[in-house]
Amino acid sequence: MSEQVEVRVNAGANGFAEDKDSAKELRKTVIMPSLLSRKIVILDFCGVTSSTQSFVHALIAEPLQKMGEDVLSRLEFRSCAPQVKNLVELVVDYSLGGFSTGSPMQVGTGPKKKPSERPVVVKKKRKRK
Amino acid sequence: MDPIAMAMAAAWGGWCQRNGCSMQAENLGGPSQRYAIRMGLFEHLNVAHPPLVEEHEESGKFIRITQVKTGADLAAVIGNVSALLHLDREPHALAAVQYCISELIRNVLEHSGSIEGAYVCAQRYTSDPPHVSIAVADCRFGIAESLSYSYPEAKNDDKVALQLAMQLGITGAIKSGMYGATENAGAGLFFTRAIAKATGGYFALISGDGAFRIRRLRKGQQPLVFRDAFNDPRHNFWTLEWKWPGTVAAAEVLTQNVPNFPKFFQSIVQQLPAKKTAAGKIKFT
Repeated sequence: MSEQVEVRVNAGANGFAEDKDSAKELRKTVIMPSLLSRKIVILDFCGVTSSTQSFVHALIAEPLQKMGEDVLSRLEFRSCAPQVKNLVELVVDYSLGGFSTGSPMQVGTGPKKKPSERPVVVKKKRKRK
Repeated sequence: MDPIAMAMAAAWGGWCQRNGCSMQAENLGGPSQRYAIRMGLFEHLNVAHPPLVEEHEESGKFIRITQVKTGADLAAVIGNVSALLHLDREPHALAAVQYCISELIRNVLEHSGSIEGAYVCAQRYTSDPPHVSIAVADCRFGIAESLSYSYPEAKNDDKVALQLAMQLGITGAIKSGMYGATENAGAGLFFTRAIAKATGGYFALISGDGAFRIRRLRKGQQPLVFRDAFNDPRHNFWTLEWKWPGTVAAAEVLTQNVPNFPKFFQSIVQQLPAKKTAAGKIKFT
């Protein structure tokens, strides 16, 4: 069985983890070397109630981009709060496949209403014959 | 008076001091002067000001103008958000505000090259609708200059630069280069804009001679976040007659519209269908 390395993620102020510098440090000094030597890395988000996409990106994007989807078998995300879980899924997905493009996004947590907004349509000028 | 004016004035003052320009304040008076004093503008400008006659409760309403040069400075600002804006009883709104402040300042620290760093301030308004206005300003490269390494088309066109900067994945995932995809995905401004819009608040971005804003949502409207911000029907763009030598970003969070930040954030993320999904392969324990 592979050796395990536990990495405690700094929760920051009020449980909000945003310190990209510390994330980068963890990635460079612990996460990447451990994964490259085939160890299992457990990222412990205990105490983190929310975070930023930039923070999670700084933490895990590099191993995903360099080692591909297989690295997920050696990465474990422990005690993720719901928003952190969302961020991990987001960063994993776009690190492996990039961002998709498409239609406008309907967002909001209130009752669904018919969107009253429509995208701006740029009218093309007709060329005179 | 809004935080955006305060952050811009402080950043401009920093630029003036670095470049040896003298500053003085004229025509002081009225509520704007009081607001500027309370926000600490004159201290940043190193300009004398009349004493503040009226005493106000200093806490619970605003984050005074703060210069942020390092990650540690940013951590201190983030740590003060709850107490200074009295959001301790609204943890979900607090998370949204912290998110916006963090991403906006990180952009300055990582991309602007600003010697003075970022100038940030924020104000909580309890009037209907209750909201928090956040502003971050810097003076140095500006967006066009920053993006031009990867996007030459942005170099001499601030409108193109602003449009690119607000798109998802602009500095990292689409074109890796000087920004390094390992450090950035280029999604910070996108998510800040998305959070502001999804709460129904405004979002503004100024750089060079380009000024962009998305107006506050009308009551009862379901917010739509557009990948291309210029497709947003509530946007305005102006070509200014002057150039801002750097970047200014402002976001408004309507606090009552963030009853649950994880669900709120999920509603944004779920609308970003992945090109590739690793769902089921990620080990959460």
